[in-house]
Amino acid sequence: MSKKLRNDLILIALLIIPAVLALALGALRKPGRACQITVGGEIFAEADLKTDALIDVDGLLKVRIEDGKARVLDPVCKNKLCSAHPPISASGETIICAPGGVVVKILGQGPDFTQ
Amino acid sequence: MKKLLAVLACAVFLAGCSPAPKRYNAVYTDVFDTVTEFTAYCSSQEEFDGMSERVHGELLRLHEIFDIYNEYPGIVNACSLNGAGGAETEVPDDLIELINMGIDWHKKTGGQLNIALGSVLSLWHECRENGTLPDENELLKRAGHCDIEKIAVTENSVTLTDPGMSLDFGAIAKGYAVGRAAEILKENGLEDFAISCGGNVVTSGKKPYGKWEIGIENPDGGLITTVSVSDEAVVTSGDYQRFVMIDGKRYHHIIDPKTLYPAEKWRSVTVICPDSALADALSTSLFCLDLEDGMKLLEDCKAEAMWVSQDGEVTKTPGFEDHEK
Repeated sequence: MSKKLRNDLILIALLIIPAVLALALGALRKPGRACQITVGGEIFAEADLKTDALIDVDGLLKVRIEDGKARVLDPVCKNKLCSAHPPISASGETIICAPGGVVVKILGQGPDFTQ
Repeated sequence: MKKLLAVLACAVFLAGCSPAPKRYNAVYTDVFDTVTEFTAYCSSQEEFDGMSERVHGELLRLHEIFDIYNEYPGIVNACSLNGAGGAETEVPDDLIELINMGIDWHKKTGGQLNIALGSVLSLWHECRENGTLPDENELLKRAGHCDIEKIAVTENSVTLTDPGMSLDFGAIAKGYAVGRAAEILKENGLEDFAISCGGNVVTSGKKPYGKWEIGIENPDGGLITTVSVSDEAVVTSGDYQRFVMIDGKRYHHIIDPKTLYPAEKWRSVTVICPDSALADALSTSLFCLDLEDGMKLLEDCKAEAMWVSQDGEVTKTPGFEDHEK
Protein backbone atom coordinates (compact mmCIF):
# COMPACT_ATOMS: atom_id res chain seq x y z
CA MET A 1 0.00 0.00 0.00
CA SER A 2 1.45 3.31 -1.04
CA LYS A 3 1.93 6.03 1.55
CA LYS A 4 -0.50 8.29 -0.32
CA LEU A 5 -3.27 5.67 -0.38
CA ARG A 6 -2.73 4.92 3.32
CA ASN A 7 -3.00 8.61 4.17
CA ASP A 8 -6.15 8.91 2.05
CA LEU A 9 -7.72 5.97 3.89
CA ILE A 10 -6.83 7.51 7.25
CA LEU A 11 -8.38 10.80 6.11
CA ILE A 12 -11.58 9.02 4.97
CA ALA A 13 -11.79 7.15 8.29
CA LEU A 14 -11.30 10.41 10.20
CA LEU A 15 -14.13 12.01 8.23
CA ILE A 16 -16.56 9.08 8.17
CA ILE A 17 -16.31 7.62 11.70
CA PRO A 18 -17.24 10.81 13.61
CA ALA A 19 -20.05 11.49 11.11
CA VAL A 20 -21.51 7.99 11.55
CA LEU A 21 -21.21 8.26 15.34
CA ALA A 22 -22.91 11.65 15.30
CA LEU A 23 -25.73 10.32 13.13
CA ALA A 24 -26.17 7.25 15.35
CA LEU A 25 -26.24 9.34 18.53
CA GLY A 26 -28.66 11.80 16.92
CA ALA A 27 -30.97 8.96 15.89
CA LEU A 28 -30.98 7.56 19.41
CA ARG A 29 -31.80 10.91 20.99
CA LYS A 30 -35.44 11.62 21.52
CA PRO A 31 -36.77 15.15 21.16
CA GLY A 32 -37.74 16.68 24.47
CA ARG A 33 -41.16 17.59 25.75
CA ALA A 34 -40.38 20.41 28.14
CA CYS A 35 -37.58 22.48 29.57
CA GLN A 36 -37.02 22.33 33.33
CA ILE A 37 -35.09 25.10 35.06
CA THR A 38 -33.75 24.56 38.56
CA VAL A 39 -31.95 27.06 40.81
CA GLY A 40 -29.92 25.62 43.66
CA GLY A 41 -31.65 22.26 43.16
CA GLU A 42 -35.15 23.73 43.47
CA ILE A 43 -37.46 23.69 40.46
CA PHE A 44 -37.86 27.28 39.28
CA ALA A 45 -39.96 26.67 36.14
CA GLU A 46 -41.04 24.04 33.65
CA ALA A 47 -41.96 25.23 30.18
CA ASP A 48 -43.38 23.42 27.17
CA LEU A 49 -40.86 23.34 24.31
CA LYS A 50 -43.64 23.79 21.76
CA THR A 51 -44.34 27.34 22.99
CA ASP A 52 -41.81 30.10 22.36
CA ALA A 53 -40.96 31.99 25.56
CA LEU A 54 -38.36 34.16 27.29
CA ILE A 55 -37.99 33.27 30.98
CA ASP A 56 -36.12 35.49 33.44
CA VAL A 57 -34.52 33.18 36.03
CA ASP A 58 -34.34 35.28 39.21
CA GLY A 59 -32.17 37.89 37.46
CA LEU A 60 -29.36 35.31 37.13
CA LEU A 61 -29.93 34.63 33.43
CA LYS A 62 -32.67 34.29 30.85
CA VAL A 63 -33.83 31.12 29.06
CA ARG A 64 -35.11 31.58 25.55
CA ILE A 65 -37.37 28.85 24.13
CA GLU A 66 -37.69 29.07 20.37
CA ASP A 67 -38.49 26.49 17.65
CA GLY A 68 -38.48 23.66 20.21
CA LYS A 69 -35.01 24.53 21.51
CA ALA A 70 -33.80 26.19 24.72
CA ARG A 71 -30.73 28.39 25.15
CA VAL A 72 -29.31 30.65 27.82
CA LEU A 73 -29.04 34.44 27.38
CA ASP A 74 -27.58 37.30 29.41
CA PRO A 75 -26.01 35.42 32.34
CA VAL A 76 -24.71 37.74 35.07
CA CYS A 77 -21.74 35.47 35.82
CA LYS A 78 -18.24 36.37 34.68
CA ASN A 79 -17.24 33.71 32.16
CA LYS A 80 -20.65 33.37 30.41
CA LEU A 81 -19.95 29.77 29.30
CA CYS A 82 -23.61 28.84 29.55
CA SER A 83 -24.68 31.43 26.97
CA ALA A 84 -22.03 30.09 24.59
CA HIS A 85 -23.60 26.60 24.79
CA PRO A 86 -25.55 25.68 21.64
CA PRO A 87 -29.35 25.44 22.01
CA ILE A 88 -30.59 22.15 23.48
CA SER A 89 -33.71 20.20 22.47
CA ALA A 90 -33.14 16.46 23.02
CA SER A 91 -34.36 14.59 26.04
CA GLY A 92 -31.71 14.63 28.80
CA GLU A 93 -29.59 17.50 27.41
CA THR A 94 -28.55 20.16 29.92
CA ILE A 95 -26.96 23.60 30.11
CA ILE A 96 -25.41 24.34 33.49
CA CYS A 97 -24.54 27.75 34.88
CA ALA A 98 -22.33 26.70 37.79
CA PRO A 99 -21.76 30.15 39.36
CA GLY A 100 -25.50 30.83 39.53
CA GLY A 101 -26.44 27.23 40.40
CA VAL A 102 -28.83 27.14 37.45
CA VAL A 103 -29.52 23.93 35.52
CA VAL A 104 -31.55 23.97 32.33
CA LYS A 105 -32.63 20.42 31.46
CA ILE A 106 -34.71 18.98 28.65
CA LEU A 107 -37.31 16.57 29.96
CA GLY A 108 -38.16 13.39 28.07
CA GLN A 109 -41.07 12.81 25.83
CA GLY A 110 -44.16 11.26 27.43
CA PRO A 111 -46.13 8.57 25.62
CA ASP A 112 -47.74 9.53 22.31
CA PHE A 113 -51.17 8.57 23.64
CA THR A 114 -52.60 7.33 26.92
CA GLN A 115 -55.63 5.11 27.46
CA MET B 1 -9.39 7.56 -5.03
CA LYS B 2 -10.50 11.06 -5.98
CA LYS B 3 -13.65 9.57 -7.54
CA LEU B 4 -14.37 7.64 -4.34
CA LEU B 5 -13.96 10.81 -2.28
CA ALA B 6 -16.26 12.71 -4.65
CA VAL B 7 -18.96 10.01 -4.38
CA LEU B 8 -18.68 10.01 -0.59
CA ALA B 9 -18.87 13.80 -0.47
CA CYS B 10 -21.99 13.77 -2.67
CA ALA B 11 -23.62 11.07 -0.53
CA VAL B 12 -22.97 13.06 2.66
CA PHE B 13 -24.25 16.24 1.00
CA LEU B 14 -27.43 14.58 -0.30
CA ALA B 15 -28.12 12.86 3.02
CA GLY B 16 -27.86 16.24 4.72
CA CYS B 17 -30.31 17.81 2.27
CA SER B 18 -33.15 15.24 2.40
CA PRO B 19 -36.11 16.88 4.16
CA ALA B 20 -37.00 15.19 7.46
CA PRO B 21 -40.73 14.51 7.84
CA LYS B 22 -42.40 16.63 10.51
CA ARG B 23 -44.89 15.58 13.13
CA TYR B 24 -48.43 16.89 12.61
CA ASN B 25 -51.50 16.41 14.74
CA ALA B 26 -55.28 16.83 14.36
CA VAL B 27 -58.11 16.33 16.86
CA TYR B 28 -61.76 15.50 16.04
CA THR B 29 -64.54 15.63 18.60
CA ASP B 30 -67.51 14.75 16.39
CA VAL B 31 -67.03 11.00 15.94
CA PHE B 32 -67.99 8.07 18.20
CA ASP B 33 -68.83 10.36 21.16
CA THR B 34 -65.19 10.63 22.14
CA VAL B 35 -62.00 12.52 21.35
CA THR B 36 -60.03 11.27 18.35
CA GLU B 37 -56.43 12.25 17.71
CA PHE B 38 -54.58 11.70 14.45
CA THR B 39 -50.78 12.06 14.45
CA ALA B 40 -48.57 11.56 11.41
CA TYR B 41 -45.12 12.30 10.03
CA CYS B 42 -45.54 14.13 6.72
CA SER B 43 -43.35 16.22 4.46
CA SER B 44 -45.66 19.24 4.58
CA GLN B 45 -48.75 20.69 6.25
CA GLU B 46 -50.61 20.29 2.95
CA GLU B 47 -49.85 16.57 2.80
CA PHE B 48 -50.99 16.12 6.41
CA ASP B 49 -54.20 18.14 5.86
CA GLY B 50 -55.10 15.89 2.92
CA MET B 51 -54.54 12.76 5.03
CA SER B 52 -56.45 14.25 7.96
CA GLU B 53 -59.41 14.96 5.69
CA ARG B 54 -59.44 11.31 4.60
CA VAL B 55 -59.27 9.97 8.18
CA HIS B 56 -61.93 12.34 9.44
CA GLY B 57 -64.18 11.64 6.43
CA GLU B 58 -63.97 7.87 6.91
CA LEU B 59 -64.57 8.07 10.67
CA LEU B 60 -67.57 10.36 10.13
CA ARG B 61 -69.00 8.02 7.49
CA LEU B 62 -68.70 4.98 9.77
CA HIS B 63 -69.91 6.93 12.82
CA GLU B 64 -73.13 7.70 10.94
CA ILE B 65 -73.59 4.07 9.79
CA PHE B 66 -73.01 2.57 13.27
CA ASP B 67 -74.90 5.27 15.23
CA ILE B 68 -77.77 3.68 17.20
CA TYR B 69 -79.16 6.98 18.50
CA ASN B 70 -79.59 9.13 15.35
CA GLU B 71 -80.60 8.69 11.72
CA TYR B 72 -78.98 10.70 8.90
CA PRO B 73 -80.38 11.79 5.55
CA GLY B 74 -79.57 9.49 2.66
CA ILE B 75 -78.30 6.48 4.65
CA VAL B 76 -79.84 3.49 6.35
CA ASN B 77 -77.91 2.97 9.57
CA ALA B 78 -77.98 0.97 12.81
CA CYS B 79 -80.64 3.30 14.25
CA SER B 80 -82.88 2.69 11.22
CA LEU B 81 -82.35 -1.07 11.57
CA ASN B 82 -83.21 -1.06 15.30
CA GLY B 83 -86.38 0.90 14.52
CA ALA B 84 -87.47 -1.26 11.57
CA GLY B 85 -89.92 -3.29 13.70
CA GLY B 86 -88.60 -6.64 12.46
CA ALA B 87 -88.75 -5.76 8.74
CA GLU B 88 -85.97 -6.82 6.39
CA THR B 89 -83.70 -3.78 5.92
CA GLU B 90 -81.10 -3.15 3.24
CA VAL B 91 -78.02 -1.76 4.98
CA PRO B 92 -74.49 -0.62 3.93
CA ASP B 93 -71.74 -3.22 3.50
CA ASP B 94 -69.84 -1.96 6.55
CA LEU B 95 -72.85 -2.65 8.78
CA ILE B 96 -73.20 -6.17 7.33
CA GLU B 97 -69.50 -6.78 7.99
CA LEU B 98 -69.71 -5.47 11.57
CA ILE B 99 -72.81 -7.58 12.32
CA ASN B 100 -71.17 -10.73 10.92
CA MET B 101 -68.10 -9.97 13.01
CA GLY B 102 -70.33 -9.57 16.10
CA ILE B 103 -72.05 -12.92 15.44
CA ASP B 104 -68.67 -14.59 14.98
CA TRP B 105 -67.38 -13.13 18.25
CA HIS B 106 -70.50 -14.22 20.12
CA LYS B 107 -69.60 -17.81 19.22
CA LYS B 108 -65.88 -17.38 19.97
CA THR B 109 -66.53 -15.95 23.43
CA GLY B 110 -69.33 -18.27 24.46
CA GLY B 111 -71.76 -15.34 24.45
CA GLN B 112 -69.65 -12.84 26.42
CA LEU B 113 -69.64 -10.42 23.51
CA ASN B 114 -73.20 -9.86 22.36
CA ILE B 115 -74.14 -7.13 19.85
CA ALA B 116 -77.81 -8.04 20.44
CA LEU B 117 -77.66 -6.73 24.01
CA GLY B 118 -78.83 -3.27 22.89
CA SER B 119 -82.09 -3.17 24.87
CA VAL B 120 -80.27 -3.98 28.13
CA LEU B 121 -77.43 -1.56 27.39
CA SER B 122 -79.83 1.29 26.58
CA LEU B 123 -81.52 0.79 29.99
CA TRP B 124 -78.15 0.98 31.73
CA HIS B 125 -77.24 4.01 29.62
CA GLU B 126 -80.40 5.86 30.75
CA CYS B 127 -79.74 4.89 34.38
CA ARG B 128 -76.12 6.10 34.26
CA GLU B 129 -77.35 9.43 32.86
CA ASN B 130 -79.92 9.73 35.69
CA GLY B 131 -77.67 8.37 38.44
CA THR B 132 -80.10 5.54 39.25
CA LEU B 133 -80.04 1.74 39.14
CA PRO B 134 -82.21 -0.15 36.61
CA ASP B 135 -85.35 -1.91 37.76
CA GLU B 136 -84.56 -5.63 38.14
CA ASN B 137 -87.79 -6.78 36.43
CA GLU B 138 -87.26 -4.40 33.52
CA LEU B 139 -83.70 -5.73 33.12
CA LEU B 140 -84.95 -9.32 32.99
CA LYS B 141 -87.73 -8.37 30.58
CA ARG B 142 -85.25 -6.73 28.22
CA ALA B 143 -82.82 -9.64 28.55
CA GLY B 144 -85.52 -11.72 26.84
CA HIS B 145 -84.85 -9.74 23.65
CA CYS B 146 -81.11 -10.39 23.32
CA ASP B 147 -81.00 -13.66 21.39
CA ILE B 148 -78.34 -13.20 18.69
CA GLU B 149 -79.83 -16.13 16.74
CA LYS B 150 -82.67 -13.77 15.88
CA ILE B 151 -80.48 -11.68 13.60
CA ALA B 152 -80.89 -12.85 9.99
CA VAL B 153 -78.18 -11.57 7.66
CA THR B 154 -78.02 -11.82 3.87
CA GLU B 155 -75.44 -10.29 1.51
CA ASN B 156 -76.99 -6.83 1.71
CA SER B 157 -79.83 -6.94 4.23
CA VAL B 158 -80.53 -7.62 7.89
CA THR B 159 -83.71 -8.68 9.67
CA LEU B 160 -84.15 -8.57 13.43
CA THR B 161 -86.74 -11.31 13.71
CA ASP B 162 -87.44 -10.29 17.31
CA PRO B 163 -88.86 -6.75 16.94
CA GLY B 164 -88.07 -6.07 20.61
CA MET B 165 -84.37 -6.58 19.92
CA SER B 166 -81.90 -3.78 19.32
CA LEU B 167 -78.28 -3.94 18.30
CA ASP B 168 -75.40 -2.07 19.98
CA PHE B 169 -71.91 -1.94 18.51
CA GLY B 170 -70.14 -0.13 21.34
CA ALA B 171 -67.80 -3.08 21.91
CA ILE B 172 -66.49 -3.30 18.35
CA ALA B 173 -67.41 -0.25 16.24
CA LYS B 174 -64.53 2.06 17.16
CA GLY B 175 -61.88 -0.60 16.57
CA TYR B 176 -63.40 -1.46 13.20
CA ALA B 177 -63.67 2.21 12.16
CA VAL B 178 -60.14 3.15 13.21
CA GLY B 179 -58.80 0.08 11.38
CA ARG B 180 -60.62 1.13 8.19
CA ALA B 181 -59.33 4.69 8.46
CA ALA B 182 -55.79 3.32 8.83
CA GLU B 183 -56.23 1.18 5.70
CA ILE B 184 -57.26 4.26 3.71
CA LEU B 185 -54.16 6.15 4.85
CA LYS B 186 -51.90 3.28 3.82
CA GLU B 187 -53.63 3.04 0.43
CA ASN B 188 -52.78 6.73 -0.02
CA GLY B 189 -49.12 6.15 0.69
CA LEU B 190 -48.85 7.32 4.31
CA GLU B 191 -46.58 5.06 6.34
CA ASP B 192 -45.90 6.57 9.75
CA PHE B 193 -49.02 7.52 11.68
CA ALA B 194 -51.22 6.74 14.67
CA ILE B 195 -54.92 7.25 15.35
CA SER B 196 -56.31 7.27 18.87
CA CYS B 197 -60.08 7.09 19.22
CA GLY B 198 -61.22 6.93 22.86
CA GLY B 199 -59.06 4.08 24.14
CA ASN B 200 -58.51 2.53 20.70
CA VAL B 201 -55.08 3.25 19.22
CA VAL B 202 -53.93 1.98 15.86
CA THR B 203 -50.33 2.55 14.74
CA SER B 204 -48.47 2.26 11.46
CA GLY B 205 -44.73 2.47 10.89
CA LYS B 206 -42.84 4.38 13.54
CA LYS B 207 -41.52 7.75 14.60
CA PRO B 208 -38.11 8.97 13.39
CA TYR B 209 -36.60 7.99 16.75
CA GLY B 210 -38.49 4.81 17.59
CA LYS B 211 -41.80 3.06 17.93
CA TRP B 212 -45.08 4.65 19.01
CA GLU B 213 -45.44 4.80 22.77
CA ILE B 214 -48.80 4.21 24.38
CA GLY B 215 -49.27 4.92 28.08
CA ILE B 216 -51.72 2.60 29.85
CA GLU B 217 -53.53 4.29 32.71
CA ASN B 218 -53.60 2.82 36.19
CA PRO B 219 -57.31 2.61 37.12
CA ASP B 220 -56.39 4.42 40.36
CA GLY B 221 -54.50 7.21 38.58
CA GLY B 222 -51.18 7.71 36.80
CA LEU B 223 -49.68 5.33 34.30
CA ILE B 224 -49.33 1.63 35.04
CA THR B 225 -47.00 1.03 32.09
CA THR B 226 -46.00 2.24 28.63
CA VAL B 227 -45.89 -0.03 25.60
CA SER B 228 -43.97 0.52 22.36
CA VAL B 229 -45.72 -0.60 19.20
CA SER B 230 -45.38 -0.43 15.45
CA ASP B 231 -48.05 -1.66 12.99
CA GLU B 232 -50.17 -2.81 15.93
CA ALA B 233 -53.32 -1.70 17.72
CA VAL B 234 -53.62 -1.15 21.46
CA VAL B 235 -57.05 -1.14 23.08
CA THR B 236 -57.98 -0.84 26.74
CA SER B 237 -61.35 -1.57 28.32
CA GLY B 238 -61.63 -0.26 31.85
CA ASP B 239 -64.17 0.44 34.57
CA TYR B 240 -62.75 3.96 35.00
CA GLN B 241 -63.73 5.27 31.56
CA ARG B 242 -67.53 5.67 31.71
CA PHE B 243 -69.22 5.09 35.05
CA VAL B 244 -71.56 6.46 37.69
CA MET B 245 -71.15 6.24 41.48
CA ILE B 246 -74.31 5.17 43.32
CA ASP B 247 -74.20 4.71 47.12
CA GLY B 248 -70.40 4.60 46.96
CA LYS B 249 -70.35 1.83 44.36
CA ARG B 250 -68.99 2.24 40.82
CA TYR B 251 -71.33 1.19 37.98
CA HIS B 252 -69.42 1.27 34.70
CA HIS B 253 -70.44 0.79 31.06
CA ILE B 254 -69.27 -2.76 30.24
CA ILE B 255 -72.23 -5.00 31.02
CA ASP B 256 -71.72 -8.74 31.49
CA PRO B 257 -74.39 -10.45 29.35
CA LYS B 258 -74.53 -13.34 31.86
CA THR B 259 -75.31 -11.20 34.94
CA LEU B 260 -76.83 -8.14 33.18
CA TYR B 261 -74.73 -6.01 35.56
CA PRO B 262 -71.36 -4.29 35.07
CA ALA B 263 -68.62 -6.92 34.76
CA GLU B 264 -66.60 -7.11 37.99
CA LYS B 265 -63.76 -9.47 37.19
CA TRP B 266 -61.22 -6.77 36.23
CA ARG B 267 -60.50 -3.07 36.61
CA SER B 268 -58.98 -2.94 33.14
CA VAL B 269 -57.82 -5.15 30.29
CA THR B 270 -55.41 -4.01 27.57
CA VAL B 271 -54.92 -5.90 24.30
CA ILE B 272 -52.16 -5.53 21.69
CA CYS B 273 -52.50 -7.11 18.25
CA PRO B 274 -52.09 -6.13 14.60
CA ASP B 275 -55.85 -5.94 13.86
CA SER B 276 -57.66 -2.96 15.40
CA ALA B 277 -61.17 -4.48 15.22
CA LEU B 278 -59.90 -7.70 16.78
CA ALA B 279 -58.15 -5.80 19.58
CA ASP B 280 -61.38 -3.92 20.39
CA ALA B 281 -63.51 -7.09 20.42
CA LEU B 282 -60.90 -8.94 22.48
CA SER B 283 -60.52 -6.25 25.15
CA THR B 284 -64.27 -6.17 25.83
CA SER B 285 -64.50 -9.98 25.80
CA LEU B 286 -61.51 -10.47 28.13
CA PHE B 287 -62.98 -7.88 30.49
CA CYS B 288 -65.95 -10.23 31.06
CA LEU B 289 -64.00 -13.52 31.10
CA ASP B 290 -61.87 -15.05 33.85
CA LEU B 291 -58.11 -15.35 33.28
CA GLU B 292 -58.13 -18.99 32.16
CA ASP B 293 -60.86 -18.53 29.54
CA GLY B 294 -59.28 -15.26 28.45
CA MET B 295 -55.90 -16.93 27.91
CA LYS B 296 -57.58 -19.66 25.82
CA LEU B 297 -59.26 -17.03 23.65
CA LEU B 298 -55.95 -15.19 23.18
CA GLU B 299 -54.18 -18.34 21.97
CA ASP B 300 -56.28 -18.36 18.79
CA CYS B 301 -55.82 -14.66 18.06
CA LYS B 302 -52.05 -13.89 18.07
CA ALA B 303 -52.73 -11.16 20.60
CA GLU B 304 -51.13 -10.09 23.87
CA ALA B 305 -52.90 -8.80 26.97
CA MET B 306 -52.55 -7.24 30.40
CA TRP B 307 -55.18 -7.61 33.13
CA VAL B 308 -55.51 -5.39 36.21
CA SER B 309 -57.54 -7.10 38.93
CA GLN B 310 -59.88 -5.47 41.46
CA ASP B 311 -57.08 -5.43 44.05
CA GLY B 312 -54.56 -3.96 41.60
CA GLU B 313 -52.73 -7.18 40.77
CA VAL B 314 -51.31 -7.10 37.24
CA THR B 315 -51.08 -10.16 34.97
CA LYS B 316 -49.41 -10.00 31.55
CA THR B 317 -48.78 -12.42 28.72
CA PRO B 318 -45.03 -12.82 27.96
CA GLY B 319 -45.52 -11.10 24.60
CA PHE B 320 -47.07 -8.09 26.33
CA GLU B 321 -43.98 -7.69 28.49
CA ASP B 322 -41.86 -7.64 25.32
CA HIS B 323 -43.68 -4.44 24.29
CA GLU B 324 -42.85 -2.65 27.54
CA LYS B 325 -39.81 -0.42 27.72
